[in-house]
Amino acid sequence: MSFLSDAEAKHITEKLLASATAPETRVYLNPSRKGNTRFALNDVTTSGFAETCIVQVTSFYGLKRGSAQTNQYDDQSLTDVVHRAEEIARLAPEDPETMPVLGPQTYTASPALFSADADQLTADYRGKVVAEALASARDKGLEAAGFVQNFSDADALATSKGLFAYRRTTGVVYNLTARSKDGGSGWAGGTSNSVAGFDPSSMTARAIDIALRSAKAVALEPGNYTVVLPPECVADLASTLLNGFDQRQVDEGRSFLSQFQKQMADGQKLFSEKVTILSDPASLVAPSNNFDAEGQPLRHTEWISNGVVKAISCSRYWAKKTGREAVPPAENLVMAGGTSSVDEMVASTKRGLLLTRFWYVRPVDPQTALYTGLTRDGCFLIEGGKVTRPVKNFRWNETPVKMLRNIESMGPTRRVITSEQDLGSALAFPALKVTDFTFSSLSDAI
Amino acid sequence: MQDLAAVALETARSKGASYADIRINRYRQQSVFAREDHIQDAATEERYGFGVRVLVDGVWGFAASARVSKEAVARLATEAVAIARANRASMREPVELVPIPQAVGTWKTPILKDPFAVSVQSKADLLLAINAAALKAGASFITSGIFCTEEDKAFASTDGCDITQVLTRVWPLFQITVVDKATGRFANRFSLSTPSGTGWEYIEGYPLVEEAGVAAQQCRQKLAAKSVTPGKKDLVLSPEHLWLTIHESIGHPTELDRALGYEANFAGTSFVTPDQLGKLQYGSAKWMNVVADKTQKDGLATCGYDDDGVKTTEFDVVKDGRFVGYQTIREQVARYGKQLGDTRLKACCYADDFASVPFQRMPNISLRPYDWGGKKVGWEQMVADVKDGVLIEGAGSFSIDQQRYNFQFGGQVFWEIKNGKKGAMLRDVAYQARTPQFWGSLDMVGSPHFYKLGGSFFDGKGQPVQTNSVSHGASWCRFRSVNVLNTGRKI
Repeated sequence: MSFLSDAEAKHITEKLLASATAPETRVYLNPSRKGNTRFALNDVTTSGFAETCIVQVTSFYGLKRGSAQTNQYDDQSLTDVVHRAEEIARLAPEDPETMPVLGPQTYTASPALFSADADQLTADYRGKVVAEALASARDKGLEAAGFVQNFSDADALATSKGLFAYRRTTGVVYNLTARSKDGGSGWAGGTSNSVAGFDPSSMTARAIDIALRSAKAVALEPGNYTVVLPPECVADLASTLLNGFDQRQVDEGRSFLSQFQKQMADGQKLFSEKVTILSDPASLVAPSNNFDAEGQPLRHTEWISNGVVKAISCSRYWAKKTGREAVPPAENLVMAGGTSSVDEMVASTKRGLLLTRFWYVRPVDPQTALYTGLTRDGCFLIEGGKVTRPVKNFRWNETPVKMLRNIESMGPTRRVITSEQDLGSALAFPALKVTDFTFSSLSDAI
Repeated sequence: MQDLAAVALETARSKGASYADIRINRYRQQSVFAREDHIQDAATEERYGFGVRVLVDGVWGFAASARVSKEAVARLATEAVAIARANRASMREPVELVPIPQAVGTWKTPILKDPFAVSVQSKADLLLAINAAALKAGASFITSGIFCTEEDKAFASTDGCDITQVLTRVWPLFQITVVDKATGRFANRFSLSTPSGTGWEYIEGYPLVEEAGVAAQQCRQKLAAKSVTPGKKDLVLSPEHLWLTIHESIGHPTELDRALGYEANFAGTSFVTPDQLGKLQYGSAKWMNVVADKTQKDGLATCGYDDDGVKTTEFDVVKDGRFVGYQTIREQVARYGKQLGDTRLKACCYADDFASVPFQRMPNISLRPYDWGGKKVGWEQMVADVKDGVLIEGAGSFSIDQQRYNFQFGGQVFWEIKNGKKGAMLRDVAYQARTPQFWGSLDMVGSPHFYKLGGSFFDGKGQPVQTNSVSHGASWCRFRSVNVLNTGRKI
């Protein structure tokens, strides 16, 4: 399939809108190409390529609304999907929260979202990354497992009120786990919208290094420790915070932020003044989409500035009902960093833990934004400013609110992937040194 | 179908593939959601396409497309062969496939009422009735929904398989929130309903409206409930809770791909290593018998054939507390079957989309109820012998490590057990344990009268992540001296 260009996408959206009979219609196209190669036990296991296209139509009859989706875009399928959306919309009861479709909008450019080099990636590129990883792991007597994926897609959105938006996105993702026969395990990974500057070799080397250093871990008592968290751990936990940044939930009393409404109104700090977290489609380090599913423009938005909550996302319906401005939810997150290196954080720590990544992070209590999860693939004891030995993994129970209050020092911000992410959402976070992090039990897992 | 299959298989063979298969699949989904007194979303989705999988010199290649034509099938079959060749240099041990019986047949989920034939209005009416019952009973907010899904699958392979299947599943659900404006506290209660591999009759037969009223009252009670005192306590767990614990602590550790290291980079490995097959005492010898069954009635993973073309079956995973069987697929039997002393075909291969690479996925895995000779044995009989414990209903928070040792589970509703009696509601409860110790502490399993299937549409595994629908059955169970945490915090 040749990719849908701006003009081709517009042609298809026009066909969809032309066959619509509903008073208002919104259509969305998402053609994509994805290729991936997996390896494990020092061998390639599976490899695949897929090209797909989502065609979605939402029809509006006053307050009645319904949507239909297909993955075909021949003329008959386009007509059929419009008819199905209209049929389900006509049958649906009225929804008082229905908002009219948007007309033309102005969008912030997101130039780093697409790159020609990542658009042209093939199985050969992935094969070379994998071959190098396997050779390096075998050379050190380790066993490697990992994953390389590249993707290229387009998003086109149009409405019966004349909105047309189009963007292209590319990406490459790589991560691997290297394990030793004596119980060492190391992980590293990364993602980028461009091949230029993306360095799988350094990730392979980092995973191997951690695997070699983490063998023969000893058990340490669970409890509260000072921790040096790499950006991956910070992103894993801090990004969950934004789940509570919804104005309607806050107003309704069911966000962890609800209890802080007075402090927020007074401009008081809820987090360390070191904390500034924003979204910006124009970010060069972690670029994001520049329009959301309704066609609203995504703009530079500071959610937290020097510890003070500055913005909370707000749907168009809730904004209208409460007299606020609509704020689309975050599509990327960038946390401002500092200048401390991980080595400096370790050197300033009397007794603490240095981690590699988190695993299986899940909510426990939405009232306090409490999450649980585990450490994985390299957990080290710091004593007297030095990393002294690998220790066994822990389960932790902690809230990002406390993590972002207890910051002692921060490293530079870099693009990361989180523990259960493979397509590469746009997150850039710094390493943090944090006091009083709660580890509740030991895990024997390697 | 036959024409397209012939093009795929012949193209792959002519380009050098020793084995090829094609799946041409159509997927339908419908969802309706309601919030308080209004319908919020009604959506329908249909998608179809094909995936061609080839083995070239013992290396897998796969390519898929939504453009279903002879030209596209030939092009993608060629692409799949090229992908296999691109990876040949890295391959050390070629993939082989164990011979299977040539499967030609059809299979359909036995349903009484097609959920897609039920009108959107009827679905909306049911959801609004659920919401009304919850609001009447004191809910501050409620969101309810109905999902219906259908997989219409065709499979053909160079081994002569020619299979068509239609898999139907439904899922009714709700989430209630009660907010106490005076204290600023809020509590949630999810429905105890579960997705099911059946038709609309499941939703018709499930007392959702009644449960919504009870759930709203329980949600209000949660706000005033006593915060649990942490420590070692006995647990009495409902089937609606236990399915998730079974899934995480028995289902995943007994996947052979995990045990061997194939998922080491993401989902993880397993503490159940191959040398422990037939030896590991997984849990209580008297009470623990676990069966895998892709033919089980109403099971979400139930089907006629897997995505290798192997006829589905039932097999023991844990017998009398001892680990006796991994979940496996065709290529694993060829490579590891003799070494493990287990060469049975277990039909555990599945891909969640035509564009996804098939791999080993979990069948329905269930804890057998205990035969009490016809006597009804449930939570009441279990509580009678508990001095200090917690009774848990419904699945809640869950997390487990990458080798499936250390887990932590919450729930929907918690009740204090003191001196043989079920007492007041508790809050802030989670339990944490190490898998073999936990299953070793199982000391009572309820009778078949209380056996129920629970399950999920969204079991994630693999890279890129694929979801699998899977069910887990259990009766009430009791566990002794488990570590209970208090999850209450102040921020």
